[in-house]
Amino acid sequence: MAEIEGEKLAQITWDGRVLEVDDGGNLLTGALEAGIFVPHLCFHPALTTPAQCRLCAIEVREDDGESWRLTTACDARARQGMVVRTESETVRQARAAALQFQLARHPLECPSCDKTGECELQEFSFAYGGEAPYVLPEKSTAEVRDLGDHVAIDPGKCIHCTRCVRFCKEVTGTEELSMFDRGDRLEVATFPGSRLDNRLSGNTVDLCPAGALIDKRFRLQPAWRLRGVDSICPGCSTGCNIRVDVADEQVRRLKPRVNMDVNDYWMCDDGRHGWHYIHSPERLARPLVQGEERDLPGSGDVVASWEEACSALHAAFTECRSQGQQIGVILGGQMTNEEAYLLISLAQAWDSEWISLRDSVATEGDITFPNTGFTIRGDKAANGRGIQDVAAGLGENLRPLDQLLDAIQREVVGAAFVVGGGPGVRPGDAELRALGALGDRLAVLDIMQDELAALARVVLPGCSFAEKMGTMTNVDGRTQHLRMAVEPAPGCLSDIEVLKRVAASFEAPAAALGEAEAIFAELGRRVDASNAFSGLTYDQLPDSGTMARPATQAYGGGWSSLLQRRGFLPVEDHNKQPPIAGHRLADSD
Amino acid sequence: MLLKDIDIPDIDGVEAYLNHGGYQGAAKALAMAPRELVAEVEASGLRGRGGGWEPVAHKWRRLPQPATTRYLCVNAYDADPGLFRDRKLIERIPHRVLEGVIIAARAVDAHVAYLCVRGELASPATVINRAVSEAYAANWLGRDIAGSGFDLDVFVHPGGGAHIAAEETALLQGLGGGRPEPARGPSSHTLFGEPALVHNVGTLAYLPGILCAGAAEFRAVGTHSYPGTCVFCVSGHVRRPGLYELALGGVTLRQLVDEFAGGVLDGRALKAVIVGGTLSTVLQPQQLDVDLDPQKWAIPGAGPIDGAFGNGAVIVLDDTTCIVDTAIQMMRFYAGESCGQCAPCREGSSWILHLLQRLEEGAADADEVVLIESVARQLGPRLRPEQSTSLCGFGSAFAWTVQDLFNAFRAEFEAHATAGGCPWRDQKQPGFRVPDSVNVRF
Repeated sequence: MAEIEGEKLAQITWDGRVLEVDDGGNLLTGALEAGIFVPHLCFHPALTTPAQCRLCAIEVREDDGESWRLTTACDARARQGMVVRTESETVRQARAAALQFQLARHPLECPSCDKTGECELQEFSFAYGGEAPYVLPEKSTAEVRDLGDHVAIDPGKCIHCTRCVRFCKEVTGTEELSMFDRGDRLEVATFPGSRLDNRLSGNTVDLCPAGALIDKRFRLQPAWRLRGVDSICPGCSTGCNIRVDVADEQVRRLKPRVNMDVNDYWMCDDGRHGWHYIHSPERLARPLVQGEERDLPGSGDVVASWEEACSALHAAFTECRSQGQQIGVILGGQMTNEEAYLLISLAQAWDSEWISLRDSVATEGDITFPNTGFTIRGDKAANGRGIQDVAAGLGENLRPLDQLLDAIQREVVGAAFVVGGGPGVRPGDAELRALGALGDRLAVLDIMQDELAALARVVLPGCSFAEKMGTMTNVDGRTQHLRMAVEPAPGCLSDIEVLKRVAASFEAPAAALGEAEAIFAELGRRVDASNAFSGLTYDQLPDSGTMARPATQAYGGGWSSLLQRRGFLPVEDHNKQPPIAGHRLADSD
Repeated sequence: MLLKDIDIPDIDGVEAYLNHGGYQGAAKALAMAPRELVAEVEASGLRGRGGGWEPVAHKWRRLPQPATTRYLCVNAYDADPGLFRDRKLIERIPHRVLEGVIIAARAVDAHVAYLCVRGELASPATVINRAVSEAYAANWLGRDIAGSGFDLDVFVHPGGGAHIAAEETALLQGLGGGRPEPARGPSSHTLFGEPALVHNVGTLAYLPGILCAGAAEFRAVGTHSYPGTCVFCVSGHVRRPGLYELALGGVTLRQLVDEFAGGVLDGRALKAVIVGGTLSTVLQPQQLDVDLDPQKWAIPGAGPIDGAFGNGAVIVLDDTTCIVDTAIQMMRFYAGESCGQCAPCREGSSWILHLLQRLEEGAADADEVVLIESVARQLGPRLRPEQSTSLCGFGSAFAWTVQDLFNAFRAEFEAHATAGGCPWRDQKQPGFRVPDSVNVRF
């Protein structure tokens, strides 16, 4: 373990192993950092330690050098020369007792529980519980009730770890939840008249180590059916590290991954639930070339082949240029750096001087939780900074969108290639009005069948963030991997492939580019040394070495690695992935 | 020492108290440098009377240095089953308690003290409030006390009613506005972020006497390590229940029960004596010839264990008492009063209660009798206090009591299982009863 600057280390002995941990630091954190897994339920590295679950039991040798005292690691402080053991009968029994007490009244509804397969109580009971835990015939039978828009509680499954209560106090500062009553009547509830409606409420479900807190939109989908793909949330320019959970080639939910430099352990509810459009029947699924009757949205669409669509686009844009008008290009804020590189290269092939990025700023602005600094950005263009950097690297200055719209009105621009995207980066009314004036010379690369597609002559179906490979650069200049979690929707190609086919119809050089990784390398080669992407390749987007403390990594891998060891979670899926990306460009200087 | 003067008429008023030498200890303390004061109390060997028996001067010295503000908090809960000492002291001689507060505050340089009176104790709260007003009026509280330059404000705080709210750290949590739950870790002994000292009423009330008569006089009774007296609260099936102040180590438990408390009620035979409040020891009739000395206090079959002596509560049970019923009464109290934050205590208390009730009703078999003891042992083996699994001592306390009852009366538990319920169902007297807990949502 690397010495952390400015901190004193203490040498402790843990089951015969000598560890170096922060002197005076939390002993459980120290052990986890050193790669020793200690089971725990109420402890969470981002929260205070109430030492309530008693599961992280350890024995510490007393000063007499002979006797041992049973205590909990989470509220013990590391000190030089400390001797700890966990491989003792006393600790084994204490762990089993801690779990036994939790299980006595627990309604063992594991086969019908939303948490099954990723339940810490379940997993620890197998790993550390007694051989035949005693279960009372009388179960907790309280009914499931709503806590807020996204979260419900099954009180009978609550193990009273208070992680959710502490989260709402210490992280969001909103304090909707508290413990009420005492003894075996103790329960988690909202204060009278209050609802769990803070913008980070979904994290309480992630924090819940049992099945008490329920994601109301994720029911009865056992964890072992899910395949997790590490990616980036496209919801705003924070770029939260997420895992896209997939089953049957459908996205089922998003979960935050730990990255202390970006999102800590959290993601917001907007991002967490902002993916449902991916499997919407309103998705564009075929290239369309719209005919005369396109006044009625959707009607009169002519389903075209990719070749027909590209040639219609080619014809319209060639006509525009032959009349001395320019082609405008509007990029969407959820495009990857690679897609932006392709499209801007293509615009250069069209000799376009009118390249713009749609501003997508929410009126509410940034929402920051002061306790932790976690911010939901008002800037919904998740890759706005990356697109700016790519454009700069290619020698282009992106024009403000209103200037481009004005140029359309002035008929300087006579055609446009417009990229839409997911919710949050949709075109506004002004843009739609201006684009409407282009008539047959509007081509759109988009996801949803809505007003924008209805306006266009040529509609190219695009991919959502979950169907793409590429990179995005967040507001702090950190370039991170977006990974394909599901295949492009039926009828769709990857956006890179679509843009290359368009480029091919113009015989533009961009058509010869390879896949995302090759495009990124090309970008890195092509830009000059002052550019953020200079010299970068995927290999250089480092492993999660940017994470603030190794503890978080150990913790993040905590029970899931345990599940993997026990064969509950596929190990190979994660190992095949390139390492978690997080290259902070600003660090290079 | 403690109960001296409590029968003087009107001694609950400041006038009578001053006429009988009241506040002279405080006056002495205020004239001393805090360091001398700590040394004097250290010389007396006074230990805390809440059950922990920690030397008071150690506790004072342990306060973190330096601190801008320190708080003195007075525990006036009388929370343990069978304990009724502090409320009597407050009701009868409240100014002696306040005088003790002034002395302790002076010793640790605290200028704000909170008197935490259990919410249910309405009468003591009224008396202490009146006494505080009188003390302010007589300038024994407030600015520049008795011209000494020392300031002290005292606030009376009616605390949450749960038994567990009287645990030292829970008391501080509750006083600070949180849920009164025991806490561990570096901030657990703080109030509003500042170091806080918690003392029992029954500890502080010794201080005036020590200051007036001197440490040597205090040491004249009691043992070398445990000087002074202890007020025993004798209740249950005895002829003369009440408070008995006896020199520590001076008498045996049998003398206390038979001579002082008059022996078992109605001439019936003794069945058991439960000593020590929460940290109970269950003793059988043949085991009563033990000195009431914390140092020598031994668990039957195990020998001396630190802290097992408890706080002076003595509950006497006669031979008409059903032990299972007694265990139910106790566990009803513990299950009701557990704060619930840690799993062993929250689940263990209600689980044991549930099993005992099944046993009493005849629904339990011999396996469940074994299970009761096994649940209790999972909270902490009786003879291994260092192996307790609960967050605070409350969980191990009831687990130990249950194990003690099993050790002493195993046959009676087993008889309930084989007889299909309580064998004395029709003839028994009510066992030891504690008031039903008041269910306060906090």
